[in-house]
This record gives sequence, C-alpha cells and structure tokens, in this order.
Amino acid sequence: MSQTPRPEDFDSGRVDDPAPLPSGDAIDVMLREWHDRERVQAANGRNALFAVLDGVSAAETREAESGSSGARLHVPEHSVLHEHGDRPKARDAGRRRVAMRWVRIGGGVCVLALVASIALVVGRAGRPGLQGRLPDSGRWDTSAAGVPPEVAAGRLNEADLASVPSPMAKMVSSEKEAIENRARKVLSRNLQMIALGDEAKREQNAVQVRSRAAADRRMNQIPVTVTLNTLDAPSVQLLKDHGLSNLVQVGASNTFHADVDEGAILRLVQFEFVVSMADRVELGAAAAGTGAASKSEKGEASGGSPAPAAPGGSPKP
Amino acid sequence: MTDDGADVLAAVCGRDDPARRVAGHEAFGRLYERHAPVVRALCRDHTSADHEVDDAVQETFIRAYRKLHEVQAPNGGGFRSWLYAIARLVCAERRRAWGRRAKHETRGAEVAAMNGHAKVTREQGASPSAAAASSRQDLDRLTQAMETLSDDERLALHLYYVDTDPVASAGDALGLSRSGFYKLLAGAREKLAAKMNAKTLEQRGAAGVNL
Repeated sequence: MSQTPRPEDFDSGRVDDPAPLPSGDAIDVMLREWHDRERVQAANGRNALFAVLDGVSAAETREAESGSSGARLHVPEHSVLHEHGDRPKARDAGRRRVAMRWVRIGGGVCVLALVASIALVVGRAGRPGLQGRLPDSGRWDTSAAGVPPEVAAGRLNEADLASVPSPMAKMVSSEKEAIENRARKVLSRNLQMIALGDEAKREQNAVQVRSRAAADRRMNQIPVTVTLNTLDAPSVQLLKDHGLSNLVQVGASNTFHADVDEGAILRLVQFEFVVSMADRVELGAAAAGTGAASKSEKGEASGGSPAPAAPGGSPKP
Repeated sequence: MTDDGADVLAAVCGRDDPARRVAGHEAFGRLYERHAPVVRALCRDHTSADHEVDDAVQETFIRAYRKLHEVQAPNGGGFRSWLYAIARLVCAERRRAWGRRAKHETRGAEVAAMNGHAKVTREQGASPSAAAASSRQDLDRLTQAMETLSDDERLALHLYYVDTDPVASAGDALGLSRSGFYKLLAGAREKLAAKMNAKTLEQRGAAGVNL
C-alpha cells in the first residue's frame, strides 16, 4: 500500500504531481462502495426524471399547437416537485393571507374616502353662502352679494325699498367711489352725456363731467345735465321712476335731457342695483318653486312706484 | 467548448424548439449521466432516506432543465458548480419540508396509536440478509461520518470516487489545483478514518456491554 501524500508534501513542492490517493484500504473500499451504490441508484432514477420531462414537453407542445398565447407552459413547480410535502398548501395559504390583507387595506381606504366625501358635502350644505342654497328653503342665498335679505326673500317690493337702508349708506368712500366709477361706465355705455344749455354752460358742464370722471368730488355741488340717447319708452319711464324725474324728450328725437346730481347718479346706481336685485330675486323665486316674478320687478315694469330715497342727496321733484 | 457546454446548448435548443426535442433530451440525458451520481451523493449528505434522495435529485434536474438558459458561461464551464448549487438549494428547501412533515407524521402516528390502529412504521419490505444488513450498517455509519465533513471535503470525495476526471472537475467546481484537490482529499479521508474508527470502537464497546 502506498503512502498517502501528506498536505505538507504538496505545500513544500516536493510533490508537484501527486499520485492518486492510495486505494484498497478500508475507508477507500467503503467510500467506493458507498459511491457505487449512489451511482446505481442515480442510473435508476433516470427513467423517472425523463418521464417527467417528457410529460412537460408534451404539455408544452399541446400548448404551442393550441396557439392560445404562444407562451411556454408554466409548469406548476409544486405539482411536480413537491409530491409529498405540504409546501404548496402552505404557500397558497400565505398568498391568500397576503391577498386578503391587501383587500382589507383597499376596502378601508375606500370607506374612508367615502366618509370624507360625505362629510365634506354635509359640511358645505351647512354653511350658507358657500353652497348658494339655503338648506331649509332652497332659496338662493344672495346676502353674500350685498342684497338685503328681505328683498332677496321677495318680502319687499320696490316701494318698500325706501325703508330699506341703501347699501350705499353703509359703504365707505372708497366703495362709493368704486360704485360711481361703475355708474359712469354704465352711463357712458348706455347714455350719451353732454352738457346742455348755452355753449359756455355746455362746455363747462362737459368739463365738469370729465373732471368728475377724474374723481373730482365737486360733483356734489354742481349739477350736471346729461342727454340720454337711444332709449326706448319703457326705459325712459323706468329712469323717470328712479330719480331722473326731470328727464324730458327733446322734440321728436330720441334725445332726452335731465339734470343729474350725485343723488341721481346714486339712484341710477341703485336702479341698476335694483334691477340686478330683481334678477336675483326672480332667480331665487324660480329656484324656490314659487313661480311668480318678484314684486320689485313687477313694480319696475309698471312704472308706478315712487322713487326710492336717495341716500346721497334729495331726489328731483 | 466542453462536453457540458455542447450538451447544455443542445438541451436548450431542444427545450425551446419542438423539432429538436429528441436531440435535446439526449443531450440532457448525457448531462444527467455525467453529473447525477455526484448530485445524488450531495443530496445523500442531507438525508438517508432513499426516496427523499430520489425526489431531491429529480427536482434538481428538473429545475436545471427549466433554467438551462441561465448557465452563464457560454462554453458551459460553469454548469457543474451551477448544478451543485441548485442541488444544495433543493436539499435545504426539502430539509425544511422534511422537518414539517416529520412533525405531522409523528402527530398522525400518535393519533393512530390513540385510536388503536396498528403502529405506523417506515421500515417496509422483507428483512435483509445478515451480510447485507451489516454492509448497510457500515454505509450508514459512513454516511453519518461524512456529515461531519465540510461541503468542500464531501464534494471532493464525491468527485474523486464518481467523476471520470476528478481533478478537472474539482478545478471547475471548487477552483482547486491538482495539489490542492489531493490535499483536501487526504484531509477528508483522514477525518473519515478517524471518525469511523471511533464509531467502531463505540459499537464494539456497546456490543460488549450487551453481551
């Protein structure tokens, strides 16, 4: 029996090409027998393995011939590989648990979103002015726009507006100025304002108008005469009812004259305001299902209602 | 290209192309014959039950067949170590499954015993002859002794006794030179011999006590 090479023999370089290990001793015989047994059993397992592979190939062939997806057949690993173990069941149970967990999380998120949206809608409904519709009556809430609630509710007509404090009275100067500017825009758009009287007076009044447009506050003392063009009869009557009582027609033309002071301007502003109010009241009444137009609009249309009190000055007779 | 490389290529082509399926199976069969004994020896290191080893070897080669395209070396040089890695992974997974199943089987046997059924035994078949029983006992002791070796030492032993070119295979699978391979083998054999002698002394002592 040859001597087994020692590790130091290799390390020292004395044995460059070591011979195979000694054979024939007890441990070698046992190892050889042990591995022979494994070799035989491995050869026996070849048929079983290729039976499985043939089954896989046949299934893939059927899948390819069916042409459903063209993809390779996914062989369930556990159906082949775990014949005895409980791994497939455990793995499926784990997947089910994970899936159910995500389903619960998604359901919770959906419920939370639903509750939040309901709370948002209910919260908005409980805050008048934001939603625009009163929850109890269903009317449009126009108080936020500066309209008196009584008018908005349709309880006051145009004649009663005299007792209603004008919104202009509550306004500060900057707000009044903004309203006046707005009135000038309205007048310049719908009425043609020129000075009347002799030439000097006319020129002077025109200057006055222009200077007032430049925010000259002297309009409080000096009356301004305007000429109203392109107005039809109902509009003229409407303007007369709202402060332009000295509005007269010049001949047969469509030109009207009127002296306008600050109060008249404010009334015009208020008139426009009332008209807009009437629109809103009508909207509110229609929305509430009352059907009929508001009293204020009816009064304006008839032309018989007295002019409202001018907050900034006395109305013309 | 090595034999492994050519066979891996043919097996991949046969797997993906139905027209070459027969040739692919033949190539994979050559791979099986070349490596199955070592793979089986590796799986044997993790269990002594024959049917468990059979299942592990089959699972290793089925996984390898399905993942053949993942062999990275174009010439198939890494196939051997790749296959051994799959075998170790399969054995690790099955060992956990075996543990769970053993627990269930033990519980089932207890339930059966409580219900008055016959005791479940795993030993089946005719009783072997005395010589075969003695030989089997020796091999079982050798198996137990090999469990004390490291993975590299076991693999070196398997390659030496199974593979046709163990030195080249060791260089491929373990990255060892010829000298290093024999050095590892010598150490493994010495450890095994010492372990087997110790076990023999223990058994003789136990037999003397029994007598």
